[in-house]
Amino acid sequence: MRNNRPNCDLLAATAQIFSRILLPFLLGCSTAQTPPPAPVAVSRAELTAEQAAKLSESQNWPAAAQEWKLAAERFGLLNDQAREAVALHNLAQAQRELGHAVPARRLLEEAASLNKKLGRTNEWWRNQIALLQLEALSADAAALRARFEKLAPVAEHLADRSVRGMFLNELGLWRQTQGDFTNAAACFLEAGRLFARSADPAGHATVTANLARFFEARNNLEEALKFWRLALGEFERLADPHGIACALAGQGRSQLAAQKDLPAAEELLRRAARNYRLLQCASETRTTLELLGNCLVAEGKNGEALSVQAELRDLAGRSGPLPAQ
Amino acid sequence: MALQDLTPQLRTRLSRLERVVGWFVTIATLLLAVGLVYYIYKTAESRGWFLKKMPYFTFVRDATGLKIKDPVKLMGFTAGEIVDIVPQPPDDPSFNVFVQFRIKEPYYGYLWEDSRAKVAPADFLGKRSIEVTKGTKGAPTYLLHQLKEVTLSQAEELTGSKNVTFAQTIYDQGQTNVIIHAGEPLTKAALEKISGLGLELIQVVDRALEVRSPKWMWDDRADRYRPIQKGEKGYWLPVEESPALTERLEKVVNIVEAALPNFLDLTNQLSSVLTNSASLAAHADDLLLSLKPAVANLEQITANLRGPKGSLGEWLIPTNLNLELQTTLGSANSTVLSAQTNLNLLSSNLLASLENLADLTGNLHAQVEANGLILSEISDLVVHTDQMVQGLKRHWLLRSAFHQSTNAPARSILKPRVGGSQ
Repeated sequence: MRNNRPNCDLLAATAQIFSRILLPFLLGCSTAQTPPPAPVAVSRAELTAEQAAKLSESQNWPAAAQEWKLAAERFGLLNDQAREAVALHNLAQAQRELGHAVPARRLLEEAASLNKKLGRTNEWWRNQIALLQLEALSADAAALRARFEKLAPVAEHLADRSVRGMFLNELGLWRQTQGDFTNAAACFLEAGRLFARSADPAGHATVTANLARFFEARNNLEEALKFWRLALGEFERLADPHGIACALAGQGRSQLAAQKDLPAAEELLRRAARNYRLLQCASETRTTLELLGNCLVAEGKNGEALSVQAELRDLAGRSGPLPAQ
Repeated sequence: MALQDLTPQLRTRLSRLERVVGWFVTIATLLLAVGLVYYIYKTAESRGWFLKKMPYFTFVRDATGLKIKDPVKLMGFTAGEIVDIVPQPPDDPSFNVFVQFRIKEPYYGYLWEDSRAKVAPADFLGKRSIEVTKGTKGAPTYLLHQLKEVTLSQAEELTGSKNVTFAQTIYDQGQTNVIIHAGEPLTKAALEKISGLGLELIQVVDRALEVRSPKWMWDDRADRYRPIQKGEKGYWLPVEESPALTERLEKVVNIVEAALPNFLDLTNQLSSVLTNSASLAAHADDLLLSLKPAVANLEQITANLRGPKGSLGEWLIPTNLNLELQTTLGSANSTVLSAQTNLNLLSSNLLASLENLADLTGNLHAQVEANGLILSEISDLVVHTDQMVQGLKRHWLLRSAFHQSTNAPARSILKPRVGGSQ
């Protein structure tokens, strides 16, 4: 057909000519060569570590332990001691979650030894804090004390604020168990400040929860409630299911202890128990259900309290995964 | 600070520097201009903008799959492009669509009187393209050599040269028989043949003298060359038009659809043949059973023949055996006749089906031949596209858009602990 738009044609022809002049200038510029691919063994080890990290994140601890073990072996074969130490540390964390404290401790010591040899101070501190957490959960108070006494003097020189905050958090918890409440509160406050300055919201939320527990222990229930609410908000912003369940249970417990707004306390405890059950935290579920039973008795709901008691007995006799309610 | 305020030494140095800068800018501008002009010149040369182009036209049934600026091919080369596609006036009974195209040099030299414009499918999406065919006989459509119109006496002076030939077709007195074909050499014998026809001027061409631009175009009706007029539509190439591929596929489908009943009939016939065969076998079985007593009787006959009373008397063919034999033979005869009829029908149906199948495969073969290069072209397109994208990925301007994600290095997992938790 005849083209009745000569102006458009002229414009198009002009654009065509100019584009042909300009494009060679644009395309003629030097281009970068693609980097050579990583060796197969390295990419395989990295892939294993990546897979293991995903499994740890999804809290699939048996599979995560296997993958971290494989990653540690593969990094060991490559003589990449730095990443081998990281894999050993994470393998220890998986073993700890599986309840294997002894191999976890051995692996952490091994990782710490490697990091010390390589001069990776920050990683060495992370190993040490993991060992502190492990020993705090065991009954070996002497070992814990010895480690704190060894680490506390050198912690002043720790440059990483987040790691220092974690150390102070552990120190605060230990001092609280020792009855040294003044220094414990100071540790928590300093840890909170360090976490805030290092932009570590998860650490800050944890310290807030620990402060709430601290006030609960000091029987300052008003302050405890205030801090539990703050902690709940922070955990909600982080979308941390364990933190949320912990804050709900703590808030309910404080309200029950203060005998204040018991229906709200019951609601909080019920939600916390349900969340713990969904998260397969058997011990926390039992503790929260006991508190719920007490709350129901305080409210005069003896029938419901009895059913909670029955549920508790059922849980005590059960092994394996918790049933959904 | 004005230049006059500076010391003479500084002034001298500054003016020298200014001169150098001026020279640099001038040379850079000149180089850029020369480069630009050279690039435009090379582009124009590669695109054939400086080449002479001669117009041609044809008429097609419909303009499906054709558009302006589409290339026109000759022996696989891009010889020109379509410049105009317009429908004919509504009252034109003969032609539907006028398609004009231009053929650039040297390709129009290949187009002679018998050249054709073939319109064939170019892809599976209904696209069509024009391909002009190389001439093999007759006169060139545009004359590339010098043409002269001379009298017979002047022509006699030009005889003897192999380069001088007739540039027109000359008929006898009755305008029915050709005496001289265009392109024949100019000889005395040829001139004697046409001396009695009373021609005032004849067209001759000297092949030794090439012209820069064609000035004469072959006139089919007059069988001679005529000068090219301004605004000429061009030379008319008759068309050989194939319908679009979709249309051809539709025809194939129609043939298949038409052939299907024959196939179904064939299966029905086969079924009836099998039924008749079964019946035949049953009859044969009956026949064998019927023959069993006959065989027994024959045995008795032979026994009688061997015996002392052997004769062809009353026991030769008993009445019951005669009847049975007649029935059996009649049945066998009808069965054989039925089988013959069925076999004849079957063979005729098979023949029709095979013919349809031959048509079908012939059409498919034509399709494959017409689009033989399409798969390789698609493959090339994919490869080149991949190469282009890979190149773009490495280009300094675009490589950030294709940034490869790298795995985050593994970190040791450590979380702060809430007191009282496991």
